[in-house]
Amino acid sequence: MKILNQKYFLSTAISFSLSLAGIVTYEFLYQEKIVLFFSVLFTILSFLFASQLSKEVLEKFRKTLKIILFLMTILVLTHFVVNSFDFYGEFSPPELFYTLKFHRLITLSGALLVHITTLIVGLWFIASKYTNKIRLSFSISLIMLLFLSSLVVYHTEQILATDYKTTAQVFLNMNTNFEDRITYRFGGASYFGWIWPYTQFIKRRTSENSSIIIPPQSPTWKMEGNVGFLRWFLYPRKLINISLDSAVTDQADYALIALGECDEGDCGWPKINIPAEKIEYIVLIDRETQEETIITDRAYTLNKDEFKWGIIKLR
Amino acid sequence: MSVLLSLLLFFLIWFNGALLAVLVKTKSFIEVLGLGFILGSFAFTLAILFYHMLSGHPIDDSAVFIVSGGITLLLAPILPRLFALMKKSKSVFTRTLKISLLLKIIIGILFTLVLVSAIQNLFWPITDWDAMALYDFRARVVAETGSFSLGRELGYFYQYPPFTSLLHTSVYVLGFQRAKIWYSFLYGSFLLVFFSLSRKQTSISLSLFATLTLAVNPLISEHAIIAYTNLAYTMFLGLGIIYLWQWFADKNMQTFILGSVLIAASSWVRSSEPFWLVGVVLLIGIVFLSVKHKMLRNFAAAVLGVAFIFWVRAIWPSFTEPFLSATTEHFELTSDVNTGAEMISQAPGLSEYFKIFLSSGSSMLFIHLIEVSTYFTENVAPVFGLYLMPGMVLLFFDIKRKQYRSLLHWTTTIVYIFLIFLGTFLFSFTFDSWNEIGGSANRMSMFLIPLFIFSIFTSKTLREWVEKIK
Repeated sequence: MKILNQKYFLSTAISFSLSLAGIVTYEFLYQEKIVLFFSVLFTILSFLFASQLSKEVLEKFRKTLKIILFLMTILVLTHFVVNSFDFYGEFSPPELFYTLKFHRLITLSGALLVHITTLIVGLWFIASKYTNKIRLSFSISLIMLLFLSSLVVYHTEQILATDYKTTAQVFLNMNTNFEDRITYRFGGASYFGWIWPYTQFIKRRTSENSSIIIPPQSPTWKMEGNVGFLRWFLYPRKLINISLDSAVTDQADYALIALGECDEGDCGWPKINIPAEKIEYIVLIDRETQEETIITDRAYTLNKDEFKWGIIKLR
Repeated sequence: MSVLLSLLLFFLIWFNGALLAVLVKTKSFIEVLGLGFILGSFAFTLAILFYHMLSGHPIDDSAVFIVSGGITLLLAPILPRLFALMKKSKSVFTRTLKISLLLKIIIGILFTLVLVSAIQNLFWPITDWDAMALYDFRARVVAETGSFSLGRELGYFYQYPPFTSLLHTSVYVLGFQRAKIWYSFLYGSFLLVFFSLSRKQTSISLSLFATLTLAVNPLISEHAIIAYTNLAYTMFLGLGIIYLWQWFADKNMQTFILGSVLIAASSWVRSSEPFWLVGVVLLIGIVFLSVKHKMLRNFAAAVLGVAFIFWVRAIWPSFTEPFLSATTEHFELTSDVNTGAEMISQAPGLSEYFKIFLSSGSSMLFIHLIEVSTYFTENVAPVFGLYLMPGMVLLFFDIKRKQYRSLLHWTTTIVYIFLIFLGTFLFSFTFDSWNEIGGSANRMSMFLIPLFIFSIFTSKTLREWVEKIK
């Protein structure tokens, strides 16, 4: 009996220490699922031994759970309070905030806290109500019900939080045109959202039956080089992929000037220079101001500072 | 005007589906409500393609109303039966008022989830990569040209059956740009039918919990706001299998007619994966049991069910065949749009695999087994991982209590998991980039979610446990 008690306390202790370790040591046990798995596993073990326990031990267990529940409530509340400040904006917390590692409470998932709190509330409820009739199969049933309910609570919390955030985004974009919302959805014009103003510019500057040479598909030109993706924006224009070292020939009416993502590799396109006699005109577009500049009587040479985004009308 | 016309179309499609549900003697009001969009969208997309094929009429605004209105006219004799069922709606409403507060909260959450998905889908344009590359792009081209004939020039076009594309097209031709709203209709209908199927096997509280578990599942809720085919596929295949399971409980012909129709419909959304075969195996089981129990009508209907699945599967390839054979030029899209399912469709036959196995050493097989297991654990298992433990515990107790129906549910589900593993294992030998499609594998396994949740929440053991706690 004594050994069983020790094992029981040990497993309960491990269960909750792991859950708390997951919260505190953000890098070490960041994976919510690991915490979830261990807490459920050890709680099941706890129940296996709980069937052997005396009333006194269970009384201690209840008291321990009450304290943990109290601490968890404080933790959950702190998490939400801390998250309500805008730390990336003007508000700057004192150095002590970082020294005591309070900032980890911001990045922590609220869902995880809710999950653990549900688990503790459930355990407390079970320990209070069924002190005298804990049997192996009964404890398993309680654990399973507890697990399923906490899973539903956990997922509901996640989806409602996402819904809240996305509905807020709806209100933020109320005054934007339906199609222009593509820019926002792709992360804004400084990110993938650039594809919308860029393709609108191409559409304005080319006729529907024209053919356009585009860069090869690679991480540098994820969107501009992907025929399958880009055609959604530019159809019925015909898009022709050519390789990096191919010269832009007269097989098409236009060629894109596409800087691409310089973090991903050797950006800037077309790579092969085009002589002035093969060019009717070049139209450049500034990514920030979306101002357009028309250049005539000029050859195209690969110059990432001058030719970033635009289109070349070929002769 | 385009909004009004689209509303009329939505109503007609739902109405047709509800009439079809009543035609196969569906008695539950909630089930008919949900089946409206499910059967209606399937019948509409199938019929509009046939109308286009046979008459040569372009797929345009008039075709949309000729087809949907035509189906309504054909089903008009069933109208009195639908109206009789509609009268039940009042009693459903009064019964809902009597349930406990917790259950009312769950209904409130479910309603909110569908409503938020509808707001999102109406507000945001399509920005989902695969939809832009194929499903929505194809819909826009068809809306503009009235046919699928340009597909051969455009390359990546015919690889998937046209279900979601035709739904998009149907509103584009009416001038309504917010085609994503279809996914909210499908999401809401999925939940309604899932609830009513669970309700047939368990208590109202457990069926509502099951529906909530399904609705808040991260993958399902994510797909309620993106224009992919996976939600529709999961809905058709998942519900189809559950309907077939239901037959083993009630031996009612209506359940497996719906089961076979929905499994056939899953092939109308995505046809590359072999998961429909398990449905056929269940139907063959029904054929044998019908013979054993001398249920001749059931026997005939089950045979027809199998034939219907094969027929639906054959429609899209036979429709696209003339377009594909007319060209010798083949477009190679070396892009992200080449997905797992496309790889499946290009897969070699079984005899090829045997040759590969015989030529590989045992150490090679072992290496692949380890690699595939790791990949499977990382990409496929998370889809159902959280439901696995309660599922297996409940199966153990169900068998202990001689509740063998659980065994059918879990055998089907485990066969599916095994199929996914085996499929991945085979591909690992033939495609170098087999492990670069984690997202695809994850989405492909999504249909397991309703099967897991249904099996867990309709377990007799779980119901007893809940009653004991009360």
